[in-house]
Amino acid sequence: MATNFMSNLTVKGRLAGFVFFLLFLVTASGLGGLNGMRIANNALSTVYMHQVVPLKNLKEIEDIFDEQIIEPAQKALEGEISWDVARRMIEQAKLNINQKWKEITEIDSTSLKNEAEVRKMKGLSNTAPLISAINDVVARLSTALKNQDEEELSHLIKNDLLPIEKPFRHHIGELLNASLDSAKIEYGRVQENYRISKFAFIVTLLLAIGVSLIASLFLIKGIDHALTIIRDAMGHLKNGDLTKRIEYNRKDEFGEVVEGFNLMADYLSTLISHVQKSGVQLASSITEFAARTKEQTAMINEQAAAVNEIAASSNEIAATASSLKDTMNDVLQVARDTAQEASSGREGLSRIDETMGRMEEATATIVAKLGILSEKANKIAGVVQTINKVADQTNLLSLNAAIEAEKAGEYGAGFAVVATEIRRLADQTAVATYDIEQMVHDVQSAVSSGVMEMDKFAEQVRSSALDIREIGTQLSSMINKIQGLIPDIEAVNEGMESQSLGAKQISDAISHLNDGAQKAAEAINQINSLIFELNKSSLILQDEISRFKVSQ
Amino acid sequence: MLLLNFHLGDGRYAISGHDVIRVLPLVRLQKIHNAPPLVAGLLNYGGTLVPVIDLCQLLLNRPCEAMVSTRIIMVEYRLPNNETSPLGLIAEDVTEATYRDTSDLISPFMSPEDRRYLSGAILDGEEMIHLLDVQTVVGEEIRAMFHDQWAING
Repeated sequence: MATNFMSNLTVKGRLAGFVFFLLFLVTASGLGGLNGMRIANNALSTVYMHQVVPLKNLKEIEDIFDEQIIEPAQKALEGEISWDVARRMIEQAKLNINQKWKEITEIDSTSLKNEAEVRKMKGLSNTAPLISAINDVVARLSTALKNQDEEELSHLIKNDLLPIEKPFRHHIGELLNASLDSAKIEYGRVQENYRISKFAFIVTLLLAIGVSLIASLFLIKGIDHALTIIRDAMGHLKNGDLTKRIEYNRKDEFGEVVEGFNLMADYLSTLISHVQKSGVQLASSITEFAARTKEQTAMINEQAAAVNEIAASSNEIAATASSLKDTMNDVLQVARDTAQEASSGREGLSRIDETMGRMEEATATIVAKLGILSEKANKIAGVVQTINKVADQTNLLSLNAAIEAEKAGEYGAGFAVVATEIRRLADQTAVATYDIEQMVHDVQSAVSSGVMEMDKFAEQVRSSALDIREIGTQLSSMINKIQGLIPDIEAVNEGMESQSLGAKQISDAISHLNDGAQKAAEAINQINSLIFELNKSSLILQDEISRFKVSQ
Repeated sequence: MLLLNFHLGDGRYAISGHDVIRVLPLVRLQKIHNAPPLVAGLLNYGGTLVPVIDLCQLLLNRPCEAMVSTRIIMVEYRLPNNETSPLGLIAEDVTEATYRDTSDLISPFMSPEDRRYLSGAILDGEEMIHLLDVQTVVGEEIRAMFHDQWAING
């Protein structure tokens, strides 16, 4: 199970595990060393704070008591210094002693549980009443010094101060010894700690070296195994044997490399077999290509012939275009002439139009004159009618006269003749008036038909004038169109010129094309020789490829 | 003898000048309701109402054309009691009066109906002029119709 797990670990994983294990060991040993140093440092500071500082203070208190209390008091008594100076020195000394004592008692040494410390605590409690006694004596000394009571002072020195000196020194000495002992015990403990730390460190170091040696051995062995297998397979590949595959059961980086190698060998195998097949195909393709090239040569020859024909045709086009251009020039001239003719025609038409206008006026005048004629004729008719009536009355009168004459018999015969004459005259008048009436009637009908004709004529004149104006407009538009046509014709002319030019250019281009076709024929020949070379290369390629052994 | 010539349509006719009182122009006549067509109306002739007969209606069954030459010939009509009364006759183209001898009169071939009011004819060149008898031109029915009128006038 463990072996399987190890074989499945990647090289990276194994290296990382190894490094982490070493790191753990180094860290552990470092932490151990650090802890030992911390313990040593703590012990040192404890010794300094709890033993050395109190030792110094105790020594100072002893010195202050000797030099600043006992000595000034004795000197004041002997008159060496003034009382006042002595008092101030003593009071100052009292303050100093109290200060130092307070510092000593404030140090808490309960954490140090050794027997020297117990002695020290006992010594401190024994010394405390002596400090109070010193304070009391100093207060009384101060009062005596203030009062300058020599008797009292000497009494105090002799009975109170000097008796304290001996026990005080004894207690201080004991305290000093206890502190020293405690310091010694602390030192011993530090020494023990150092030994243990040293041992642990050496053991850790040895363990680290051993582990790294073993792990390195395993790692190197694994990598070497994989490399050997891969190198072996590479050797087969180098000799063209593509059938060889590597078997490697581990799932690490080498496993991936081996997998990649196998895949590569597969791909190569496939590729080479394809290349072998392709070589054969290439050979056949080259043969076919050679055949095609021959066909192409023939085609190019045909193309050259066709190009020559096109050249001839384009020359013909150029000739036709230039002859067309001449024709268009003629057309242009004709168009210009036509425009001019039409212009003069238009002028003539405008003159006709004027004449027509005058004719219309004349017609109107004639119609007016005819109207007057008709009126006159009507008047004549009226007169004739009157004459007719008179003639009729005359006829009637003559008839009745004849009848009366008949009735008168012989007497009326002469009268009857007159009546007959009168009747004949009346009849002649009637006939004449009838003729006049007829003539007037003819005149009237002639006038009215004349008026009608004139109206018709005027209408025709008017419509003719309209027609002439219409024709004039049409002529104008025709002129405009023809004049508009002239630029078109000119454009066509230019187009023809450019066409001729274009045909010439085509002819030139075709001669270039012909050159190109010849070059193409040359190129085909070169291709032919290249194909020969290609064929040779293909054979070599097939020979080369056959060197590879491929599983079918 | 004097003959007063006139036309009825294309035919030429004449009446004797002895029967004619006067020739009058064609004036407006007073119409008689429900009268036969040949009675043209009544004419106020000098305070007397005179019946007027349309000869065109009598001979041609159409009224005379209203022209200037169409006139009213006032004639003497003999009543059965030998008294005379004026009678108006309308005829066309009444413009001529001619003198002819009585010997010129001929009796041409006539139907019995025509013979009732035509008394003879006169030749005038190629044409023939029929003589109209004033006394027979009005038939019994007309005479009966105006009997009272004439009685009053008489």
